Amino acid sequence: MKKIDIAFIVDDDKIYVFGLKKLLTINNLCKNILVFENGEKALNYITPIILSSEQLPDIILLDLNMPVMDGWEFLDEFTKINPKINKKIEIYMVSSSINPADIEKAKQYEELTDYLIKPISIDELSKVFSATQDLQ
Amino acid sequence: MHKTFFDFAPDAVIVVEEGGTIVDASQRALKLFGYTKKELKGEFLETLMPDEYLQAHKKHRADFLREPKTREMGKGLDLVAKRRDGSTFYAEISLSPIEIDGKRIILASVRDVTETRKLYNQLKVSNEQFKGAFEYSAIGMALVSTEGNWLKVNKSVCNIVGYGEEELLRTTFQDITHPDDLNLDLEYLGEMLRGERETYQMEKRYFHKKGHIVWVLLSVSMAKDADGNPLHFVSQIKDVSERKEADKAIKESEQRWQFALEGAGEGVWDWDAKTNKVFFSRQWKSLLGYEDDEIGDSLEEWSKRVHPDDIEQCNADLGKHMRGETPIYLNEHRLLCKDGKYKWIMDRGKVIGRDDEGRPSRVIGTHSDITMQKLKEKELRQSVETISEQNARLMNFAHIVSHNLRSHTGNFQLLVDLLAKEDDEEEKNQMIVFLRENAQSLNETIKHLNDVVQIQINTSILREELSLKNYINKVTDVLRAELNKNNTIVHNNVAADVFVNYNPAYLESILLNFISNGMKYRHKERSAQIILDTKMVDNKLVLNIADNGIGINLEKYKGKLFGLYKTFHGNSDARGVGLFITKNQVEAMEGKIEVESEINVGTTFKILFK
Repeated sequence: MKKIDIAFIVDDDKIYVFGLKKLLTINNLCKNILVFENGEKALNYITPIILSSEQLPDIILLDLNMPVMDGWEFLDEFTKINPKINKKIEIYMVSSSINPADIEKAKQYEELTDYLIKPISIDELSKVFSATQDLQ
Repeated sequence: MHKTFFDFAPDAVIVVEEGGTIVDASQRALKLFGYTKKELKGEFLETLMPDEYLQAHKKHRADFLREPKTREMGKGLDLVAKRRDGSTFYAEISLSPIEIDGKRIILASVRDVTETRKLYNQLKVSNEQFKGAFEYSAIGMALVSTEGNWLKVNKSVCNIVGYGEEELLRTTFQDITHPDDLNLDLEYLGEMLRGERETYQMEKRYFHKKGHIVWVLLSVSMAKDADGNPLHFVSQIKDVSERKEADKAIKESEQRWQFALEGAGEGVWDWDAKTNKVFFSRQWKSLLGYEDDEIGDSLEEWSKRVHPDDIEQCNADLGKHMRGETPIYLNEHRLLCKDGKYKWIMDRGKVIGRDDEGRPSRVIGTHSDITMQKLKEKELRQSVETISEQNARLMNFAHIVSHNLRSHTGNFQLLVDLLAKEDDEEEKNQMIVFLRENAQSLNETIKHLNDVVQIQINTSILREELSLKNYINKVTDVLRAELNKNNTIVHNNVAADVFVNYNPAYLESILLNFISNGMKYRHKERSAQIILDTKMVDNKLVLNIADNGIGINLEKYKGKLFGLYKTFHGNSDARGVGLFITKNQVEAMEGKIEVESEINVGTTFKILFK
């Protein structure tokens, strides 16, 4: 099984990030993990390397509620630069919110692959990563 | 033809001897009867009478001769005489027996009284007619002396006042006139006696014999003698009690409904199209704060007080009803009161009379004060809005609760799972540190949520009159050390006489939050200034809290500024709780928060007090 090369975790909850990294490592689902504590930081990383596909992530696990730039805002900005990106990036919204309004809103974004509710189990995580892998 | 002495007598004279034959006749007699002396001489006197009187007359003559005496003219018998041509005339005859040479003869003076008789008869008839008319007239008629004594009264007068004729003639009209009407009556009579007036007419009251009042229409004229001196008054008296009663009943019934309406707090108006005058009831005027004599009877008194924004609809509604398109006129409008304020009025009216061409001639209606209702309506609408807002907040809150509690429980689950599988001691310790942090954070979250719930469920919160200036000073003192450390100056420009009716803890918390926010989000390149002052906007107190800090991108964050757990600046100590709680507290005090901001210039929060 070929491992996912680069995964981004965009989340301000450091306990969740610690746990998620641990799970990904233990289960050997991913080679490189990059963590950003809000949308803006992730965007600032992506924008300069937009043309170098090999540095771009294969998958983004995006939190919804974050300071400075939340998940929605990140998606809005990402939508703008997406046409220039020559790589299929799977974006998963990962949130504790079970607010139907959020779930509904998520369906409006074509860039979103799915909406996952925290906490994510290891089975779910494996499924997500293998799905992404199969696409490549 | 020779003249005899009796030819000089004023009347026709006929000389008759004892046996009844005519011996002589004067020229007048001959002319009266149409005979020549020759023809008449030797004829019986009865020749000059119609046949039907013959027998009776022979007897009269016999009786007279048996006991002859002079009978004067005028007391004479009214007889009928016959001329030569057979025509007859009424004659008055006086007889004078005289003796000439021991021979008794009778001189009969004859006078034609046909014309007199005719006149007399006519007079008699007209007198009878007048008497009948006077006596039996349906209208009361009376002759009254200049002093007021009843001289002559007819049956109708007696019936109207309930007295017998005899009784009434013993009184004066003054005796039975209502005291309130007497003066005017006497005044008129005086004017007539002084020749200033020919007649007068008035409605007045008499006391009926039984004590009750009778209303009459009195018409008086005056009879004068040949020299123009007053003789007596001629009065015509018509009983109008029934009409008066009807008038009174109508008036009473109008008064009753007016009273009923006014009793119910409604002002009454009554518009007469013919005169274009409006009757405004006392209550109508007092509704607007006016005394009865402060408002006239023109339509303008109403129309000039209608709020300019309402008059158009008013006229439209009124027009619709007047044209018969609506069964009643109904409109809500504002009327300007004496004190310069407007009152909301429910105006209801109805056309109750139309002229021959169908145009309204009379419209009546009521005004009721619905200011309170309108106010309540507004309050109700506002409270529905508030409740909807609260509901939305609670929904939002429920999601926040679920989100925040879920993230913590999720973390617990994750850490515990990992901990079970972890062998590395160092990693294990790290996880335990995280577990402790997570527990602490959960605790804090629950505390925040509890604070918010407290504000939401507290419907009856203690309020006091609080000096805004004092409270700002108090909060500034609490923050003194921090403010100094952060190079922040608070300018309390609120006047000492500004008081707010507020919950003390909320006011403290709100001020603390804004002042510490101003300090926290200060601009690094300059010393922070926070200026607090108040002003009145639309009669409401507004507190401005202006800083010269880094500002907020309102275009981006306006919708989230007061949301729970929303942070914007990436400050590690920002919790996203303060503004949320502040907003809830202000709203719990029925106020509002507004915000203006410019990046790198500063932010002004405005607290609108109720």
